[in-house]
Amino acid sequence: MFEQMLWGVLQVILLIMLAPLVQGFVKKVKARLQNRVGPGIFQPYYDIIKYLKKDAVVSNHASWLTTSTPYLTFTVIIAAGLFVPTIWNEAPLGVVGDIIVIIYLFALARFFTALSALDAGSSFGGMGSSRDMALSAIAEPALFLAVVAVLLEGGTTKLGQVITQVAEGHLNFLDPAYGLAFLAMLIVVITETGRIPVDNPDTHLELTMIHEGMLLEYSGRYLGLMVWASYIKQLLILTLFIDLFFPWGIATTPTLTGMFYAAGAYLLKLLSLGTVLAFIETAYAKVRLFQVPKLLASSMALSLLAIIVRVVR
Amino acid sequence: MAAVDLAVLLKTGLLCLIAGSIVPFLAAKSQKAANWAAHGCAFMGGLCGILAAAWVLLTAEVIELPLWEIVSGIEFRLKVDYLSAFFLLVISLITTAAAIYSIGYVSKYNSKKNIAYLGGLMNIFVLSMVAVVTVDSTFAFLIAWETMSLVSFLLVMFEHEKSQVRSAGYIYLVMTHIATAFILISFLLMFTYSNSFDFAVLKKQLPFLPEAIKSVLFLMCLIGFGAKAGIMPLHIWLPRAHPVAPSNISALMSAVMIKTAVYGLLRVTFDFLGGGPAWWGGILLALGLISAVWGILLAITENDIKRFLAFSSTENMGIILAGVGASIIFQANDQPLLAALSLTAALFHVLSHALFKGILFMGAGSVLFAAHTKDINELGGLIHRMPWTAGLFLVGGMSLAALPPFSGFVSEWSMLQSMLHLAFDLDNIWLKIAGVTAAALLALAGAFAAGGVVKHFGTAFLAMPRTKAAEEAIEVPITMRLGIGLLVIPTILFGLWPGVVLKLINNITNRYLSEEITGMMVLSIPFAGTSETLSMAVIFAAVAALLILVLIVMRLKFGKSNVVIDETWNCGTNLSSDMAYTGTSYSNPLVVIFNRLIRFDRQVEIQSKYDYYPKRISHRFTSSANIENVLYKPVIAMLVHLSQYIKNIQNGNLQNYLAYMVGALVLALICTR
Repeated sequence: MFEQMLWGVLQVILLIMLAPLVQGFVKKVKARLQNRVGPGIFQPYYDIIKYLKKDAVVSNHASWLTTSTPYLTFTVIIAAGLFVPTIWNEAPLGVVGDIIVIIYLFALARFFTALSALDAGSSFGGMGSSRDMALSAIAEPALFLAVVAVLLEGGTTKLGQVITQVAEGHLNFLDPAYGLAFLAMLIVVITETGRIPVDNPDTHLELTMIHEGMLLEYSGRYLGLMVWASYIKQLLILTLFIDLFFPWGIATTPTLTGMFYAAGAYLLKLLSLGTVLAFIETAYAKVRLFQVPKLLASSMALSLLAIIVRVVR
Repeated sequence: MAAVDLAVLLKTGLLCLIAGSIVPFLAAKSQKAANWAAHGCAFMGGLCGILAAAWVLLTAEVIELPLWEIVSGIEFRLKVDYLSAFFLLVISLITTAAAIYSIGYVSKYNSKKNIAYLGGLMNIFVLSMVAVVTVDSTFAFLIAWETMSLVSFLLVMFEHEKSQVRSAGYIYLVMTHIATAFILISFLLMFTYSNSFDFAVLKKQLPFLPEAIKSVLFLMCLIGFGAKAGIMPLHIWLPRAHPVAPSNISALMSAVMIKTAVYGLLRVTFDFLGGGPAWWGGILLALGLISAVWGILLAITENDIKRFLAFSSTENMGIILAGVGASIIFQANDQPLLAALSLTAALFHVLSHALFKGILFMGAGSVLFAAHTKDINELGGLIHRMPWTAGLFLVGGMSLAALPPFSGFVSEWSMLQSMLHLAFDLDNIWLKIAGVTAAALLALAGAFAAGGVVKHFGTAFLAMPRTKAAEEAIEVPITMRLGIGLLVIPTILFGLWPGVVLKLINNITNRYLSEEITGMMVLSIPFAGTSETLSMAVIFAAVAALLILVLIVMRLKFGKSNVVIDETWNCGTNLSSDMAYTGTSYSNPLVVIFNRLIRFDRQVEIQSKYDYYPKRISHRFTSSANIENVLYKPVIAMLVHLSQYIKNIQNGNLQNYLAYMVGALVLALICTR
């Protein structure tokens, strides 16, 4: 019990501290790929600290939803993080929840973010909110299918057990089902982290924005929390991807040396995945809003193929 | 001893409801007296019902209450077994809350309409629903069922001076009688094979019938009860009748009345027929999922809160039926534990849906009461003027969207687990793929529901008021808030502590599948080797602890956050209420994405002198399911065509009718000679 709680606290600190670094790293790699110098990889930390110190401006039409949503979103995303195994295959709260809880906690955070975007009465917020709810409605089953394609082998929705199986080599990339699920999941990861070709995290242009549109009315500490929460969510999605497809090196027993090596492997995997994302961002242009559902539909088709290949065999 | 007390308790409840059906008419002179008499009686009746039902479920006793021998052999007798008790509990719970709510709500009809009529009929309506789930013979069931249908029709027609209400009522009457017809045929078939109306005899004899006859019985009941439940494609009455009924009645109809169809289906499939082959489950699963996804998709495009809620009822009934279907599939595949899980999920969702749909319909009624419109594009900013209603509505909405920590999430979670275990634990390839697809479709429906709630809550309660009526709205009377609040408590309680509900459902799954799903603090699936567990209480505690921690750390590390209140930035121009996103624009991306499933008409009228400077733009947007045009139009055309022939027989000529009577008499004499 005590160990579990200590582990929970450690994981929370790990997620909070690591998330901005991943963002900074991806930005830096992307800048270098585009022949720019780019901001330093610690820039997201400076930004968040700056936001947290500043005063906030809140619309006079806004209600309590606007002021409570940043705190709620931030904590709910961290709580979702307690169900995702990072360097030990047992997540701190893995006993009381599973992958479904993670997905629905993300949905809860999104729900409040989308509501608060409507609160100030500006049309930009509504635009972002409406687009995000529409796309996430399709992204959610896509994520579900991609995850289930992997879970099917283990026959459980508990991540810990599935990861152990994958790590022990029951699944490998030569298996067509696994490869298809991998591609499907990659598309979902890009959608859920709001990156090109689905969403552009660097722009506030109303023609293209989705997630950024919902944050337009936020400032000061509220903005800081929302931005930080979105970095943590990005980290969690990437971690989920790593857990399901490259869990090698993850600690299966809680020894200190094992954890240490696992942490190193985890960081390495995160950074390489970040590099891949930066490559995709550089190589592709953002697609039109109404092309995104087709992209997600292809992800679902891949997942279904993966599932069919698995069950027919 | 206890059994006697229970029968008395139930009797008291029934007497309260009967009193509530009569007294208001006697006190009709005084609106206030009629109001209090009707709803006071309904409240007391509901309370007795809750106690009696909960007692039966917790102690596994059965109440038998002989009431009236109609003809020798056909008796009107109440028997509350576990299945009946569970539905009785749902009915009583919603009735209690709706009764309190109605005290405030009907004051809107003061000196305009006859309140005694509304209140009295509401009591008869509740009484008939109680009868439907507790009677002990098919004969009495049909009487109760028909009473329920007719009384609810009268209630739908309460504001009959509006033509929209009349046409909705008419469609409801037709659809509900199609339902009754199929149920009647099925019950008569049962009579021919068992020679009895009695449930107890049917239970003994029907399971031994040949498979084909059982399947016919099942399909008849599926169509009959499916029409009442609002399953696609028989859903068309739901989005018409629910919105036009008075809101307290729509809450009862949507939260409770359509659940009696689930009761009927469970009674026939599990109790009379003793389960069935896997393909029955397959049909239920497929129909349920189609209803769930299509229903919620249509719901999102609606701008009328009550129509949105009505379509969402189709969605949720679909989810419930899918759960029942999965249960039948598991049972047919010798997986009683998983069958019990699916049935538990379905029954849990019956309760969850009753709770949040009660909250939401009453919440929509409060909006209608305060702002005199249920079109969200004419509302806005209500959260500032109606903070209580907004908060209560939000809880209901989150439960509808299956978001933690409310009861809607727990039932969705168990439902998803059932579907996934179809894929995990059965050997049939098709069932595996079906299970995965079902889980994905449920996730899709859940995400759509969240979008719909954000749209409706966001447009009606947030931003700026769009009309004067919305601007002048004030918080509704305390009784209305109290009534809704009464349902919010169990929504939260059952979300955090689902073990309470599992305890209530235990006896039912144990009775039909000889397995039970248990768990007090933790909802767990005890399945070989693996055990998915869910403890909402722990998750909630973790979130709460984190929230407090974040607040403290922020305060200590970065000091107090100063907030400046200012006008929303609008690129330098003045912000006006019509610049905010409307409901129509909110759901537009989904309409565009799914334009194959939804038919929409868009009419834009521009009045202008010059092309680029419109004076006034009016925009109308209507959407409908393609299915209504494809399926119903030819049927209606055919019926109209056939009616031409009937016109030859029924031609209004008195002599002809006399001739028919003579003919019939002669025929009858020959036949009985």
